[in-house]
Amino acid sequence: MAGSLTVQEIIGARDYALAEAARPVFGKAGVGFTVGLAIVATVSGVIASVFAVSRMLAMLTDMDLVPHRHFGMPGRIQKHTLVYTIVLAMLLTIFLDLSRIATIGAIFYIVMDMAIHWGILRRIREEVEASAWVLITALTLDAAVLAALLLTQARNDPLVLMIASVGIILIFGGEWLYLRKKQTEQ
Amino acid sequence: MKQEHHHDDYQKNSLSLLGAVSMGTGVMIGAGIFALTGQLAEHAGGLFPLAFLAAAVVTGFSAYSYVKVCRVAPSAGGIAMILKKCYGPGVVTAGCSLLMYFSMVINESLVARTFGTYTLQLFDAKGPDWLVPALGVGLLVVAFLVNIAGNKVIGNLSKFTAAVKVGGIALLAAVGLWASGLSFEADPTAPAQAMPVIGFLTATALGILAYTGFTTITNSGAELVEPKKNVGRAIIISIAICVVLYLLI
Repeated sequence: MAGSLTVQEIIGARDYALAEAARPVFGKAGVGFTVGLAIVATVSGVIASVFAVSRMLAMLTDMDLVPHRHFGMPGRIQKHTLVYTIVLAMLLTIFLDLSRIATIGAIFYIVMDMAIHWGILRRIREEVEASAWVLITALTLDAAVLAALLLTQARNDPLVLMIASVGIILIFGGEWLYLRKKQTEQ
Repeated sequence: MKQEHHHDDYQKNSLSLLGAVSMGTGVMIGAGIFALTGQLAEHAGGLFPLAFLAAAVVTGFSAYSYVKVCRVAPSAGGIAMILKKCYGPGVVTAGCSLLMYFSMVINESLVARTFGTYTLQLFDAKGPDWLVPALGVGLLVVAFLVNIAGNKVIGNLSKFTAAVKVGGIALLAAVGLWASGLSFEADPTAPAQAMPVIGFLTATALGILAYTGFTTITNSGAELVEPKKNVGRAIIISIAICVVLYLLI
């Protein structure tokens, strides 16, 4: 694709860049083919991801790490987490544009990723026979790209950083309250 | 929502290596190439293919951790289990697991919206602003219904569509390369970036999203055949397939 469009054109067609790239090379049929491919890819990607993600939330529920309410729904926990996942994804789809969605997703993922590397490095490195320098490299790379992302968005779109920070505070604050409440109950 | 299938139970050995790879690539390709190419170009300029590559390198280092842990203790918990092993069942584990959860949900909205923008291209129309999110929400409704329908459908569907996707993109790339004469030149009209290094690293950070699908494989440790060997293999193969495809395009 880098061959058929200029960077200006790719940015102009940012949200559907690949279809636009097919136009000069393949003409209309190429656009149709690319769009068709994109539809197959996105549809199946969402279906597979929804499955994996609602199962992950069900697992967290089983591990007693997240609060769970049935809201009167029948069926197993994984069906409930499926509902929560879909509703949440819909809200995000409606209210955020692609660039904001991508930024928040990347920040959350990289923070989590760093926590894993740090945890392995400090706690279970010997048990799993992981090499320290690989873990430290992974941490450094994560930190570098995260810092760049934060810096860029602080200039371009500070609001998205506010949303991401509020999200992180809510997640950890909520968990702190929930786990503390559970502990005093026991 | 009647409980007809017992599909929430994890069945040992129910997932082959091929199945795991198609699951990983399935999630990755949906998010990666169609949703993120334009975003990356915006930050990295003409270097965006390299940003995809750099993101793969970063992800490769990340995957090392997951593979190492899965080799010792493959489980259905995936990331949550890894975190619990490191930090115990406390706030850090719960919070980080939820970060991962939300990141994946965010990824779904990203892909759902991308579905909307590409579908609109079929009609050559920009359409009103609400149409893209509306199409995205429609896709999520379909995803919900398919997921309610059960596990088997998803497994078969994902194997089939993974093949279509990998084949289709490879075909597109092959014809594209042939048409543009197998030459890749840096685009001279690319706008100069104000802070090239920062921009490139920003693009790399966003590019990581194109590969986070590999973590879905770690969640399937309990079902995969010979998990100690195959979780790692599936992760590495999936990432490799995606890198090759992203770079071809």
